[in-house]
Amino acid sequence: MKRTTAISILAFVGLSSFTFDYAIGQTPEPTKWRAKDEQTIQKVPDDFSGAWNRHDMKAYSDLFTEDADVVVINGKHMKGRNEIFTYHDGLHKGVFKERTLTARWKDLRFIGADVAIGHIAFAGRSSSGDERRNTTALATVVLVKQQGRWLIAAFHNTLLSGHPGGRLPSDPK
Amino acid sequence: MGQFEGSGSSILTAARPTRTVEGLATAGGVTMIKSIWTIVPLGVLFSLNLPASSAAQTLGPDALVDGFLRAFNTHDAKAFGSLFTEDADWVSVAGIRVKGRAGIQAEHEKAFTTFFKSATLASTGTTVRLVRPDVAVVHFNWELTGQVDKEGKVAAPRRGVITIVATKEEDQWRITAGQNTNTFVPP
Repeated sequence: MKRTTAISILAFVGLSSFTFDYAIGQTPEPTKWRAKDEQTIQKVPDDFSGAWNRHDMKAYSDLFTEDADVVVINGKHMKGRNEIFTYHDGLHKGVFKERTLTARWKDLRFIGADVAIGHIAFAGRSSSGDERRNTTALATVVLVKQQGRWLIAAFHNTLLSGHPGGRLPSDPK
Repeated sequence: MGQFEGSGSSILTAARPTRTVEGLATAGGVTMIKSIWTIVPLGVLFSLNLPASSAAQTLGPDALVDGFLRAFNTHDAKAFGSLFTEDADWVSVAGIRVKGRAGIQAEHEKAFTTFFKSATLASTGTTVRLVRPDVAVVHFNWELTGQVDKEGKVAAPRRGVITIVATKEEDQWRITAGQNTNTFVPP
């Protein structure tokens, strides 16, 4: 009985050490990769607003994964980079031609090494300077690391003020 | 009324039997068996079926939508809160962020006892995408009826879309982030 217990303990310790060594050998030191990843992710809002303000929807849609989900302020749900490009390119050749925005992270947290969730605050402006057309919005953003790049896998944006010029389906026409 | 005013959620008309319930019912049946000779073969059968029944008892991330609708439609803030991780984030249709399960539960408690007290939420379509085996992005379109204003007047129905980011921990899927937006019709 005692012998069995001793063997079990030895086996357990042996297995633990193996697992421990394996973990150390395979996983980069957490603070290092996290700091580097955070640095990369910090640029996402600038890349986002930069592409938007240049109305460069190719650069914009390249910030997303191939299969990304995007929900925009009017509740439209897009699936995939192509759909994201087509929808936004149309808008930026028309009504969004004179729109600019600024963007910044409100918070960010990691779900393991290759997924991060955060919120980006947006302020939208009209180049005419008409302050009535200023908007603020908040988006939940899910990022995934693919081939060393952090891309937006899911994005959902909501206006803080309700949709300007839009109406709820239940509103009187 | 509070920062959550106008926030939408969902409803389920009836709690449909889940695979979990069926799995447990099978296991429960074993306790009724009297003869050891019946138990042994049944035990073997049960063991052989173990991988299948374990799988059956692990509900997928889409079950969170059912749970969401059920908790909303029974106006059960505690059940609603239990769907979320401790550190979850929620952004309402007004773009207001609530941090943490306790806060999310408290805001919905307020809503469920006031403007949502007789409201019903229904899903009109769900999509699920795994971004990692333990991280899912779930979307569902909803229709809300029966919301009341301060005078008790019933508001017109509204529609919207919810994004849920779910994580799986110890075989349990929970919402770690979510956001809601009303669907607007272009002018």
